[in-house]
Amino acid sequence: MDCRSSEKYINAYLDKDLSAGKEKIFKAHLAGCADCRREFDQYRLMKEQLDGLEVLSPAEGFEGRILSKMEPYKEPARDPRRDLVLIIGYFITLFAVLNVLTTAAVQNLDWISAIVVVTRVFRDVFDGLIFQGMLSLFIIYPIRIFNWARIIFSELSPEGRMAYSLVIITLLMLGAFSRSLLQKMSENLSKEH
Amino acid sequence: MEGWEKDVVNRILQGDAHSYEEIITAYKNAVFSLCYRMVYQKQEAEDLSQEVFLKAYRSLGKYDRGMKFSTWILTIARNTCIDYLRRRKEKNLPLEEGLKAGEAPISAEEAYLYKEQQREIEAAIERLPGEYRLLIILYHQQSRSYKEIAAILDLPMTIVKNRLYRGRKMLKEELDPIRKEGSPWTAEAVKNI
Repeated sequence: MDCRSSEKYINAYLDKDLSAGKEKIFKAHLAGCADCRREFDQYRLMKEQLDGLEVLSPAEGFEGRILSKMEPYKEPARDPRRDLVLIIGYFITLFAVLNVLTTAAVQNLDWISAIVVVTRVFRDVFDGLIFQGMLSLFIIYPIRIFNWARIIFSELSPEGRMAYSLVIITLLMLGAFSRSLLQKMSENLSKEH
Repeated sequence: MEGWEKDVVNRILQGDAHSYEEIITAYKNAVFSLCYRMVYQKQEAEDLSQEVFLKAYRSLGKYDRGMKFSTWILTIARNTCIDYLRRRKEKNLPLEEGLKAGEAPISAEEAYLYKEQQREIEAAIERLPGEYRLLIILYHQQSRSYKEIAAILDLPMTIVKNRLYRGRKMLKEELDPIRKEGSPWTAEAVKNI
């Protein structure tokens, strides 16, 4: 190890988060480097100070003030927005399932072939995105979308989460089917010409 | 969740609201210390702490028994403080200087040194950005593990470690000029090298 990485080692060592091997390397470096030893001592002292930060207490009668504002416990009422998400989720899922079934029926496919079609459609979407030069979009937006999704997800009840997941899956499937349909239409058009 | 907390929560859910006092007594210092170091104003910290306990009370039915109660209540405290700081920023209210000295230790000289060190470190913490301040307090003052902090802040463990290291580095940089001026902090550091 060198002095540049010693700060990371110092922190990990003070947190007892170094493996035995790394700890040995770190101690050997410290023994031979006065600058890093000084740095280590400063961090160690700061850690002691931080660990010794005073535990503070609220003013007397804190419990009483809270209890006086409390009402007998009752189950919180269901948030109607959650029910709405649930209903929309189920509705879209039903719509997507019907779409899959009708597609399978129209194309005279058995169950296994229908599953194969769905799988291919997913593959097509990802291939399509890349071939259409949307790679940058594919890198930047998923991070933002993932963050939004995570925040929304954490706010929902278990039923809401289920509905939310179904909505996402359904949207993906609908996107995939739309693209597949467009592709078929364009193929038919080019055949006619 | 510890056995006693489970019992208390069950009693409250069955209608015994006064049992909540046991929870408040057990966690009031942890919650108040965290709130205080996020806003550095005693009355605001007390109001926020009350809000935290009232929110937790109203959400007891949604409490996930697989999670440590301390982690759960500190998550609520964190969210409440962040919301408050956001609102305060929107209203453009100034941060109030409200540093309080610690409990007086043994001799007068030691008391002075201790007080100075506490004041310096508290002032340096106060100047840290909120996300780093929160992490430093949770890890050092509240003695929470990386894993618990990751759950409270909803962050991956690697980010928790990196931010903690970065937060300490910022703190050290804040304290460096003080040390160069020859404060008791320096005297103590020099004595320990």
